[in-house]
Amino acid sequence: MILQTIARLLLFLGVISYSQRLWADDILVVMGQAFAIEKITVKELANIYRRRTVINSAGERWNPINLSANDPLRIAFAQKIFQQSPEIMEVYWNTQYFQGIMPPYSVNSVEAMLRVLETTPGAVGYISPCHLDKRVKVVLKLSVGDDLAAVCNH
Amino acid sequence: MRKLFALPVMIVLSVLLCQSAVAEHNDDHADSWYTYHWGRGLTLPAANLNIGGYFKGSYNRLENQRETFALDDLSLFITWTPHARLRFFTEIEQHNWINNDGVENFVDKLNIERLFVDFLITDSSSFRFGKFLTPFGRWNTIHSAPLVWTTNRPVVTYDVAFAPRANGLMYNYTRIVDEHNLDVSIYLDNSTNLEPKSFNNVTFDKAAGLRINYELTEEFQIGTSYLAYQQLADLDPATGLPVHHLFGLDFLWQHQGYELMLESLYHMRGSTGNRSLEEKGLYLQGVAPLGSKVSAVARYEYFDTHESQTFSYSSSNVSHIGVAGLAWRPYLPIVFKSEYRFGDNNRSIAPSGLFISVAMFF
Repeated sequence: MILQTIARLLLFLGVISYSQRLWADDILVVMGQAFAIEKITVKELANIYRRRTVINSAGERWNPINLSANDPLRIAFAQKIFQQSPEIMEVYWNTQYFQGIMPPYSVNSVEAMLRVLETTPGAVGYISPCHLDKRVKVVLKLSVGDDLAAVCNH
Repeated sequence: MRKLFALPVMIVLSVLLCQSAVAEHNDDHADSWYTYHWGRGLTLPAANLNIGGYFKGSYNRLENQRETFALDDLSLFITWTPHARLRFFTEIEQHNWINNDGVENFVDKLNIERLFVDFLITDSSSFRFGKFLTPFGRWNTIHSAPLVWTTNRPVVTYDVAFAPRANGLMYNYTRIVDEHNLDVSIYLDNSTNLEPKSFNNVTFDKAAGLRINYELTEEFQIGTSYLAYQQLADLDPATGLPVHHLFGLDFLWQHQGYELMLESLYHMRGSTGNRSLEEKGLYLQGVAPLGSKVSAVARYEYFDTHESQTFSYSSSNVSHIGVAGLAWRPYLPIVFKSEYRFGDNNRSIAPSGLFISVAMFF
């Protein structure tokens, strides 16, 4: 009986660990529940984060939100949608600065990201699946090669 | 002589001050009414306003010319976005304010480099009205010293071929084609009537142009440009203003700090009386990172100009120019450059010599 219970516990922990690992390889692109956008493509997202696309089809301003530059989730996100690291992307922002275009706002934590997404019109951001809650909805799921399990422990 | 020492001292102080700014940089914008980031300017979020700029100081020693030392550029950018669909931008510049001969009059050297408003019609199209950089090729629209790899400009991007700024209306359209961005710009210029004479650097009379850029991959893009213009400098009472035609092809490839850029142009001026002008040229520039934030830069340029007068004379001049140098970017907003330019038959358009400069976004 004891062995059976231990075996079930181990199985349970294994399933939890495996599912967390599966989840941890994804990045969810999210927006506040109040906003009409339901779906977005990778290229559209890249253009929003590069500030090439400034307004949506309804004429409202996009507000892309980043995590801080050394956050593993941001690094994986930048690599996925730009095929470049945040460091290389800064060269792009140098060029845009000369055109009067500024990079997206950054926040220091996932909780700050969720708060901004919930309350700011046109705000779009990204989180790990383990941080998903009712304040936001998923508009795109990005599969990345990196193991992002560590970001769930923050 | 003291003035000559003032510039390097100013530059060193700027770097030290800016290093501390980097150390204090905080990405969280939530609680402050203003933020300052080195190389990104001062932002007032509540007013949707950003104020920034850049400077460039240089030392040049060209063959058969006296050496020069100058604060070439001191520029201020102001960006204001009062509405989701509206963006105002201006660049006010002091050009060559401090040089070998001393400090020039501040107001005399003040110039409006750019002044425009963008109106976003949809998520993919917009209008720009005002004074803007002529979108011909690549270099001209990113020509600021902290962005480019060399102190001197390639010959085909000089205003010998076209005016670097236009005054008028531009329509921009962008579209995703097969998951790659396609950008199209069409513009009309009427500089003679739109630019106040006090700015005094108009070279277009009227112009019309088209620019197309396509991203083949995230790292490789190709472009083509066409421009037709008239300029008052060509005015001939007998024949009026001839029309210039310019065609350009270019590409840019960037990968992990490596870069390859090519621009080529063909320029033809319609005949004035019985004189005609034809120019063609290109440059190919490569950049390779050497480590410790130093990059090697090499450029080859070709320029061929042919002027003729019916039954009278014909002159042709072919120049080959080489540039080799180093650029050190210890921090992203600041770059120190040193290069040597040499060539064959280049004395009149791009004389050989040494160029050293420092440039920084603030």
